[in-house]
Amino acid sequence: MIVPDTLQGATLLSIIDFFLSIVMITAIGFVLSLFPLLNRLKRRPGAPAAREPGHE
Amino acid sequence: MLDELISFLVAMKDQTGLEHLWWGNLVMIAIGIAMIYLAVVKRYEPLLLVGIGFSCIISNVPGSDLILPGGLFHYAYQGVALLVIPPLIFFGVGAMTDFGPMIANPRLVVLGAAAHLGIFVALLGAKALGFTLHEAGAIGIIGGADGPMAIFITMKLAPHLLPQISVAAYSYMALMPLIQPPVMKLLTSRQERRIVMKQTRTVTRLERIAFPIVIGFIVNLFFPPVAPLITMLMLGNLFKEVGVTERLAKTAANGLMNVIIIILTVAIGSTMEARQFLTVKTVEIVILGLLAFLCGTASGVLGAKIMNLFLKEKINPLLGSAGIASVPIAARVAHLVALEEDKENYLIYHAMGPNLAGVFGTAISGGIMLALLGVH
Repeated sequence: MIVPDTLQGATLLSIIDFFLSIVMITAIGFVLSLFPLLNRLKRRPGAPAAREPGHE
Repeated sequence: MLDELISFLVAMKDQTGLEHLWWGNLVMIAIGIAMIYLAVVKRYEPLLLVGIGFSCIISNVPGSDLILPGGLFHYAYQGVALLVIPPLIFFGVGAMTDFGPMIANPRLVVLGAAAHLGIFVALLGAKALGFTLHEAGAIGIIGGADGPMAIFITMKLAPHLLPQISVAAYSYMALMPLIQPPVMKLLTSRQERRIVMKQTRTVTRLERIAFPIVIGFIVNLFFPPVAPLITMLMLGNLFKEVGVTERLAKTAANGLMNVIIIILTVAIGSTMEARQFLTVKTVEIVILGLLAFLCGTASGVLGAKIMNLFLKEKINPLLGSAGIASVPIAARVAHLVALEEDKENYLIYHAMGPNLAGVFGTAISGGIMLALLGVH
């Protein structure tokens, strides 16, 4: 076990875990914010943007 | 002749479970009946509580062979113990979930982590009460409000606490419409609850197909301890979104899911034997679980309010409470609380974003916890 089995270890684990969770989920959010770029792959250069049969 | 008859009846009695029946069994049988009552009369999570309640009753009948090796309940439990069932639940959930709201509004994704402070409050509380760090981690994950993830992490960290943790997690998930609103109202003003969210963009089919592939890659790369769950969630979702595997998606979302729910409920109920369940530890876990849900709701709302300090276009802070996972119950609660203030403020679609992100938030917190505790 990397973290000691004490109250201090539990505090350390909680702080690291909570902080890293926020960092990682923010990173996932960032990746998702890039998703609209994928739609450009479907368009031919110079061609007008086609309507995608997306759904809410 | 009479003596022979009496000794025959005594021998018969010794072969039944009556000899070992004690008041604890009767209490647990009453709890099992109460679960079935809540499911049938109050409609609280009937798909879960009927099976759990029935197998709880049966496992508290002394002499029942069903929970012993060779019995069907025992093998149902093995499905959970060997971590086969939780990933299959996620497979079914993925096949019935629309991740569009999460893809459409990525800035709300962070609420899926903000609402998980409850995990760590419960973890610290459990440690302060004398639980080992592994046990405290398993108890803390109740605050993730994600049943399969709670089972998965518990089986890795403290399998002996499975009955208490799974019952606490699923019970509080069913009771979220009662637990969350007071906290949400306490931490928000009327004006904040009336904030109307802007309509989100349309998510294309290509994005929907890319989502499970990209997330599956990221999770397996960074969080291998919890990868089985998220991978299966993403496979189920891929079947749903590609549009060419409709049969498989329907099977995963309906037939397979129903079979898995039956096995899961029987497995959980069969662990609720009185001698294991009627302990001070159970009471402590139930209280810590409630604390985790309350703190998670509060931290989600406060997280949204902190975001509003930096955003030009304010978000409705009720969305933060949906980050606690428990799809779609938490999103529905946020929607209903907003409707109380403004009958035309439909938050449900927006709330599904942080709600779905909460599933990933719980998985990430659980994965980091397993890694820090050196468990794989």
